[in-house]
Amino acid sequence: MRQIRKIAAAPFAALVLLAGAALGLAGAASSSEWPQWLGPQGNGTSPATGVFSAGGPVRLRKVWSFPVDSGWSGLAVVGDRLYTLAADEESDYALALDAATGKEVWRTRLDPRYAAAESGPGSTPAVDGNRVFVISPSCRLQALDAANGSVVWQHHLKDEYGSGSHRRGCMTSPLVEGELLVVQVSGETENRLMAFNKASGAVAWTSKGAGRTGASSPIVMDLGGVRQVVVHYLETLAPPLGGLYGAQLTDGTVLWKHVLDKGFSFDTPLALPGDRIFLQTFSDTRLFQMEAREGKVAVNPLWVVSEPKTPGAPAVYHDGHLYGVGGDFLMCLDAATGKPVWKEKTYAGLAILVDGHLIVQSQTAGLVRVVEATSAGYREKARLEVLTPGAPGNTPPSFAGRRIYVRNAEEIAAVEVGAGEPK
Amino acid sequence: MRSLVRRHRMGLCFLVVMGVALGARDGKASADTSSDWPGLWGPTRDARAAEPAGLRLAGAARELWRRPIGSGYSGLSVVGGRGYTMHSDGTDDRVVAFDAATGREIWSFRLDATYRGHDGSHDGPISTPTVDGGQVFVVSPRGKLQALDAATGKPLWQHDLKADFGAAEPLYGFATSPLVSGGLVLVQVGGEKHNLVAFDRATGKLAWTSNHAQKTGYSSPVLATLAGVPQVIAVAADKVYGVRAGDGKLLWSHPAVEESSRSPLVLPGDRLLIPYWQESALLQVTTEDGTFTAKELWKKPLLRATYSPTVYHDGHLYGLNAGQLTCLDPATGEIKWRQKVYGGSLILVDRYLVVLGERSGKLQVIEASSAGFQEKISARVFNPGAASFTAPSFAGGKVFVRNLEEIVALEITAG
Repeated sequence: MRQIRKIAAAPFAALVLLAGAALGLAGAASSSEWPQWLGPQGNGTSPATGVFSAGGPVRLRKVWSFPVDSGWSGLAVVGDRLYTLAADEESDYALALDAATGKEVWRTRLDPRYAAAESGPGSTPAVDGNRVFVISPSCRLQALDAANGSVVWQHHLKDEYGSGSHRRGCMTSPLVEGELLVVQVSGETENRLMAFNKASGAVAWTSKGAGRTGASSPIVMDLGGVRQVVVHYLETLAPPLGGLYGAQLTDGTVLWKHVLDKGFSFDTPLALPGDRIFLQTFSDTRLFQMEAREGKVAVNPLWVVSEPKTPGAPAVYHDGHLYGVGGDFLMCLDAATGKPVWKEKTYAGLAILVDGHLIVQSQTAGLVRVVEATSAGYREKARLEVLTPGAPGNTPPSFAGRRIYVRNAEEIAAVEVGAGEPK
Repeated sequence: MRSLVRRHRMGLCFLVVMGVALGARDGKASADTSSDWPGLWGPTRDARAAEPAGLRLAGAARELWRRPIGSGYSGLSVVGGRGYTMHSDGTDDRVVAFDAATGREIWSFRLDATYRGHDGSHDGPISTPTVDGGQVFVVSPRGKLQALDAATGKPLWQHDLKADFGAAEPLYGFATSPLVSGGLVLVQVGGEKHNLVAFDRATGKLAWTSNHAQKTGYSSPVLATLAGVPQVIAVAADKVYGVRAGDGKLLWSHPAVEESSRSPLVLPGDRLLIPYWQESALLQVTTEDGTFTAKELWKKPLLRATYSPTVYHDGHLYGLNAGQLTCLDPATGEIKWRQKVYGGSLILVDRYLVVLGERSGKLQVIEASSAGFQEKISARVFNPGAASFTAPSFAGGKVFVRNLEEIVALEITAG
């Protein structure tokens, strides 16, 4: 179900250092942003520091709430704005809110409500400079002006490029990389990646990937010195069987492909340090070692475990361990073996990583928890009931500034992270 | 708090120790069956309590007891002060009997290795035990039909629906609940040659078999008197049909709207509401010179098949769909009102709907009135986020609810 992924070129440690320098002293407002699906690095991890590391109790406070009717698109937060997609009875629309106050800034109708997408839009906007890139459930790709929501350019992925996608409509999120906007355009009979010039909308390349279709979102990785787009797609429909392939970012040439022996999902893959790819399907959870040699990429399975199966967004990686929710349990896995180190019943939910802590949003309990990302055990620092228990939702939280942004099908909310007693 | 998740051996020891007390209790067994909830969706399999009218509601729900239970979808059947259900203890799927007044386990029978959830489903048994005449009848997700002695949990007879009758296991496992009619136990087996089958309840011997339909889904047969004739109604993948309970003779049939469906709801005036995945259909059954016909009155994308039954009260239908409680006029198909309740499932007790949220952890008591949504009681009974796919039961003046981890008894009546 989840789409966007982006890995920064710089090694993770260097990025943290850069971010730290930009952020200044601990306790000062962090300038971290969340510009797309799964955050600035496309791995559910925020580069922010000084959020929790002052130690001491963590205080969570709900600061505003905005009602919507439907939708599970992620929340992109850049500068003082929050962008997402939602739907009412008549329309699927893009929404911009003031991130500080929750007041509506603009709303742009994208298409008549796509009825088969019963839960509303699922694609997360990608924000780059003064542009907000969105994909409606009807598969219309649009570049909107961030200031007022007006349409700068658009393409109809179905009418122009034959996107068949999932019968519930387009849920894939667009990805910005350099001058390009990359989109997984699943055809009726063929899966494709397309890259558009982000300024003009002109088609830069079309990659005829593989297989039938795909509803997940692409990520970007460097493998063997070649920057490439990696995507999880559906190789066959009956039986449904997933696969992974990598296409060169410069021109879309497909460099490698790997079909799973079983399983599929709509999940976005997660890139781990050391050229590893983590993937969750409806059947199991896997880690692959990618080996790039002499222009060829080999895909070596490292391990397959039964949990966590796909929750809708990938786990996060921290310090040799993977943290994610499977079924009703938050789990810590040893990334080397896939074996669970600890499990805690938090009910179905999705997690992101901020400053060494997991922000876990329980999908239907309405709870937001802050939990230490440590293999030592489940250590909860704070919790707050933010959304209505029982209300439907399937969106991971976003983090920007000093705030956690959450949503479900009927509400978007901002939660301020307070430092508690300063040390 | 004693867990219902117990090994069979321990349950037997407990039984031996309690043998004398149980014997004494049996001697004073309640003869009043009007307050029982003996199987799927209550005494008439339409999610309505048979309690006398004029129920006085309390201002709030009062919790009587709470016990842990394992994963499963099975409903809570309550007869003679004893409750029966099924769950997974993590390793095995079990049938359990408990004291309705305290929740304490009386016996536990190992039915099968646990049916593991997959592709979105959860571990554990799905169908609801049918309790009647001192016997308990269950179907396991892998198609084991088992008869047990209600007092002791001792096995009486069993059949393997796949091996013995060529039934195909549905994608998510067998969910059909057995139906008792006189001396027979009827099961919607779903095999090509043996689609709806009747067994002698005492011996398990085959009484009659029928193949009026192909396949089956997740629904259960119901008893009804239509046009003056008592019959069994079944919904199969390709048709809805009625047969004579005594010998399985086909009385009428009507093509199904689609393959996936739930059990039919019998309405006054010889009408049937059939919920399908995309729509629901209202059928009218008539008879002329002993020949039956079934006619479709309407078909609408409303009150579609979910875990919850739809109930009928005072000329209107009340059902749950996509978290909304809907009041519908069956004569016209018109929606009277709708309200978001995050349900779940519901039943009808006197003139009130008892609604359990799917993950909200909330129990609501709402007036079954076409005038509008009027909530009378709201209580948090389960952890929010924990899922329940099981309709409440009402027996002996008490509400019984379960989710995938707990079972709770409450009182909602005044005094």
